[in-house]
Amino acid sequence: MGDYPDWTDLVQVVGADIMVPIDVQGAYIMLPVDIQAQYVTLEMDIVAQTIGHIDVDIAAQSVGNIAVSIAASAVTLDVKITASSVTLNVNIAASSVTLTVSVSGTAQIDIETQSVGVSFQGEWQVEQGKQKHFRGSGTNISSGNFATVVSYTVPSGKNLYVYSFCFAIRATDAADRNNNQIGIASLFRADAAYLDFGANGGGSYTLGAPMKVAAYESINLLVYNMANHNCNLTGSVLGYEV
Amino acid sequence: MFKGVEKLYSGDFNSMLQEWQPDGSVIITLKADGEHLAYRFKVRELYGQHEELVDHQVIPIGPPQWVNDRMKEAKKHGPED
Repeated sequence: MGDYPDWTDLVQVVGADIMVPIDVQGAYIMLPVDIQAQYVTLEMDIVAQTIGHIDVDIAAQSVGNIAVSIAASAVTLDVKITASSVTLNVNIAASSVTLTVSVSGTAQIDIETQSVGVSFQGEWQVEQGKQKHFRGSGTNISSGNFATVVSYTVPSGKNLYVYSFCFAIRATDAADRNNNQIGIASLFRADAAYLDFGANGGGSYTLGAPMKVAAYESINLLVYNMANHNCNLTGSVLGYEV
Repeated sequence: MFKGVEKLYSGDFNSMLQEWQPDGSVIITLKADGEHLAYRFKVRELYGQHEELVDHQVIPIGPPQWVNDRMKEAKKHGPED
């Protein structure tokens, strides 16, 4: 009979200098370890097909060295460090890496490598196949009227980021093509007027920072014919959706 | 749900062309990068409660076969000296 009804035993060791080699082999192991000491050296080598959870909570005035080596086909590693001073060396060798780093404060990044590519978010999302290009047209629009050339509602679970839009205006009849073709482009987000600009023949506008259009919200690009004759109107919206 | 409409509402496309018609309907063409098909369909009352699909086509896109063949040949042999 053990110390507990399930025949397990309680082991309690008290001493000034303790060395306890532990070799445990079992189908199911639960090993709670609570160490409180002025000086601790803890070496762990775990070989298993599946490791459910390893919680490591270290509260110490000084931590010398934590070396973590993980070899697995898939790894999710959440690291949260709260300290007055942190030095974090990360060395990753993998065919595919997604590294998300959130830093409160000042982040200094020092990269030493033979080849590094750094992309702005917009460029990166385009490279990842997330680009969205909308183009629309309205034909034979009379003077003073407009055409909705692009109308889109962002799907559930996504956000659209718009960084540029443009329009073009052309006379419908050949006889008018030497005249001014004044047009105005209005980009609406979620049914609220957002941006307007006008030009003769068309133009483009690039936003200083992308405009976010959240899921279920819509964007509409309207082009107004301010010429004194009928025109064909086109417009485009450029962005990425993630 | 037809494939084109499904792509519209899931956002599974990279480019959209909208051709607005005088009667208020719109012809939409959707294309996703890397796919060799485009979806062209016409709807009345886009995003409206009574949105109605009146036409739907699946269109092969990309360069003609002879251009693809030449590209394959060029890749196989590389540039001549």
